[in-house]
Amino acid sequence: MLDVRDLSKSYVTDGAKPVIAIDGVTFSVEKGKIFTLLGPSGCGKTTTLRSIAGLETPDSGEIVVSGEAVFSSKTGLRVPANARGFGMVFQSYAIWPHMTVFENVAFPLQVRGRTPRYSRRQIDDEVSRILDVVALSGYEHRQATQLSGGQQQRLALARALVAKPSLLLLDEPLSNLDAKLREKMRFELKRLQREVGITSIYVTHDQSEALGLSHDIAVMDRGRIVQIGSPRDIYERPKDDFVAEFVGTTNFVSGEVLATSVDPAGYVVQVASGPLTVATSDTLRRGDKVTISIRPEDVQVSTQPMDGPNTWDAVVDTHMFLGFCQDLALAWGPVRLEARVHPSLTVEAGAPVRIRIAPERCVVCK
Amino acid sequence: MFSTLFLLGIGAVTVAPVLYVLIASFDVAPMGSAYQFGLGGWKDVFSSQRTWMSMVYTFVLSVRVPIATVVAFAISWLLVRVEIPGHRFIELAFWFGFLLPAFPMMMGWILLLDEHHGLFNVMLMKLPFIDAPIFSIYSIPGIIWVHFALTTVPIMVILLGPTLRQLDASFEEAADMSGASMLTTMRRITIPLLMPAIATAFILALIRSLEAFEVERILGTPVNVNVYSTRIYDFVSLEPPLFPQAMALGTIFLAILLLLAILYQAYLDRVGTQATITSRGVSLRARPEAWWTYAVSVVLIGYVCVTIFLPLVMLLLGSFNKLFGFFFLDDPWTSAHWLAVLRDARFLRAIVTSVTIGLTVGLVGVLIFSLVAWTLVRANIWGRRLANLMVWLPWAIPGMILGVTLLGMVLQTPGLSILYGTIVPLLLALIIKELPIGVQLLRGSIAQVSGQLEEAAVMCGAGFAMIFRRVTLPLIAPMLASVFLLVFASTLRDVSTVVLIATPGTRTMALLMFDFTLSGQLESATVVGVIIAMICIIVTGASFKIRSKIGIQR
Repeated sequence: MLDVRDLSKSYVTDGAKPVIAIDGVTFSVEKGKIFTLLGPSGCGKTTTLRSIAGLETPDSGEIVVSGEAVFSSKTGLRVPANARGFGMVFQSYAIWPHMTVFENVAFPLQVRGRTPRYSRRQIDDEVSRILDVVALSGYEHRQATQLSGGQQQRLALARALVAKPSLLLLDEPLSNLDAKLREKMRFELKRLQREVGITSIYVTHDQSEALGLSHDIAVMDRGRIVQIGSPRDIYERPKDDFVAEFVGTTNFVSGEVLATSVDPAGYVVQVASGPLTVATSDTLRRGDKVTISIRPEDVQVSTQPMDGPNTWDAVVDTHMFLGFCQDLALAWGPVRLEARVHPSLTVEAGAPVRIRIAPERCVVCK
Repeated sequence: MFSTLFLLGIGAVTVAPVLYVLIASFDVAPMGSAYQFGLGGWKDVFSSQRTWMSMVYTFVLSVRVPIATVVAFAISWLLVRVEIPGHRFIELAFWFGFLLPAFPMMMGWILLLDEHHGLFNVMLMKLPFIDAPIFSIYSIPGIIWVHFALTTVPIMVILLGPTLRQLDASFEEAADMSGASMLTTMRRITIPLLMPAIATAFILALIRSLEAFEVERILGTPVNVNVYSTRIYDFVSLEPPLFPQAMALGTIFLAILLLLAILYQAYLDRVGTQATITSRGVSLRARPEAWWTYAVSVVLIGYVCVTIFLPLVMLLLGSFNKLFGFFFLDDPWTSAHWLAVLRDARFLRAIVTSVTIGLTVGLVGVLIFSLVAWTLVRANIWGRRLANLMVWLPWAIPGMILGVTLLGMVLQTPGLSILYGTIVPLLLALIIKELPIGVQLLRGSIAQVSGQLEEAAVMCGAGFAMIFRRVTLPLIAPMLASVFLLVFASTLRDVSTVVLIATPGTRTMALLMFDFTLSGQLESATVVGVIIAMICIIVTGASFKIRSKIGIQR
């Protein structure tokens, strides 16, 4: 549905070297899916989104929507933003403070230069339909600035959706909300997207938003896409340590490949605390230096004896009770490991425990 | 392509007159004959003691600007942030004071502070321990006072007030919460955040002060205080006029103003402009109910009554005087002057001309200025810095010279001469004259509107005209109303720009007043002055009414 090919853009700043904002960004999105651009600030995700929107002009590349190019540096084609027919939710919402809720939502219907134009009646109908969808019915004549943060957010969404755009662009739409509301709106967004069935591009720096909302995620770093995959792919099989670190917390353990292992198929990696069995289909050689990512929730901790591969003794260093879980910092020989365990486990700082790390949960990052 | 057209357009109306001034300063040929290059004008200017002294006086008189900056900032802060009791009235009074034409108001001050007949002096001398007049309006302090009270402080208050109101109070609240005292917050947070606006107000007031004309002419000439603008007037009004000298002096002044504009622009580039209006609205702090707010309120209301309303009342009384300024005759009152003026056909024509010009320049000007300002802030054009500087130029040209220049251009361009005798040259001259202040004010206002509000409209499919009309203009509506008022009022009172272009059929009210004064009919001049003031009151009131209904509802 959306194809972005080899998009690049750099900014020229006074005197200094040009700053590369995005560099060869390529991805495609299927119809009806939510595609997320995830990355730290300055990674180029917003520039990519704004290029798709038409608010910025890339230096080179191509953007194709439903088989029709809206931007192509080769042919010099650049469809202006207001003719692309996309909807967009801005980080600041950009709700017009001088208009009522109704006027804000009706605006896209009033200005879109399509024939035949919407009649007043149709506008009324469409606005109340979409306000119903975002649960803002009855607020039509409120001044937009009198709404709460969550309501403004839904209003921004209604405005972006009312003209039935072919593509919905969301620029960190939840970042201005408080944690509880953010969580609620995340479900709401997912429900709305499924209901409306609209192809969406979502920009965020929040990994839990990305993992929870998207069909596919592109992790970006310094203007490039590092990895594209399903949320599960990205989380469980991060391609490198940047992705592993950025998408959730993780333990990095470095070591050297000692030998191949047969059951499970993979390698034995010598780390500072001992030999660790790692299940992987990657091809490694003896003597390769590798970094292994182990998610805290994949470190099993018990006060009872355990056996199987990768079972070790460790000592609890600190522990933090969070209610729905507890986070432990463990001393596994010279290596420090973070573990997330069930709240029912009772341990104290200084207590000896057994730990086990399933070989298929050890991910080799190059 | 657009950039080039934009630059050419701005250049045509701003650079052309400047070049004309520069070139004409080297033209020593007599009026009406072919161009002849010579340095005569420049030599005369530099060898004249009077001209040098006029430069010195010009700068001495401008000391009022830094003083007024401090006073105006304090007043704006009290009005907007503390919301002292009566703040609406006080703000309205400052608007009103600024919009009132300086010329008749100065006459009000003459009635109060004249050394011999001034009401204050006469009354003070009745006290036993005072036996000599205290005040003398015909002096350097007199000129400074009239400007300070009627233009410099009011213009700064009306410029700083809206900016301060748009500044999100949470910046200051954050400082309060950090434990900063009120003064520390002001010094470390409010003033630095407002610095670009303060700089703008300072520079606008400074330029106004450098080019002020009528007050200096009337109050300075009797005591031999000449300023730069009155020297130019002298040169031009001689028979035959000494244009090269006037233009040479104009060029020097132009260079000074250009330097100021460059410094100002460099400063703005360095600090940048922050968008402080977001769609989330502005939180305002509660008004502290303290005894001192009432005390301050009383002081400020007293101040505006003395500086603005008292001279106005004097002016009104003066217009009913049998003999201007003589209040202590046996039977000093008459309505004869009013009847005479109201029956005068010239007056009726002037009122129509003035109002037509004021409304046209106001409305067309505001539209043009906001388009130019938007382009300067938002559009991706090359040569933006150059355009920014060029926008200042019309202010560097004294009104009279701008008038002469346009007259020359209209008369010498084939096809345009049919415009002579119509109000079109007046409209053009006045729009160019008001371009700098209009564009600067709207530029600041547009820069404060978050760009995402416009981008959101782009994403809704709106075209430029639609976005401009439905999003940008409504968001800056309060500033549009202010600029309209400023332009309307300046147009209504302008003498120097139009005095040489207006034909007998297109005399404005201000010119009529000027003509009456020159022919010694001070009483009739006062009547016209009172009527101009009344129109100002009506338009100010209406604009405030409209302004309170438009813009963002909070």
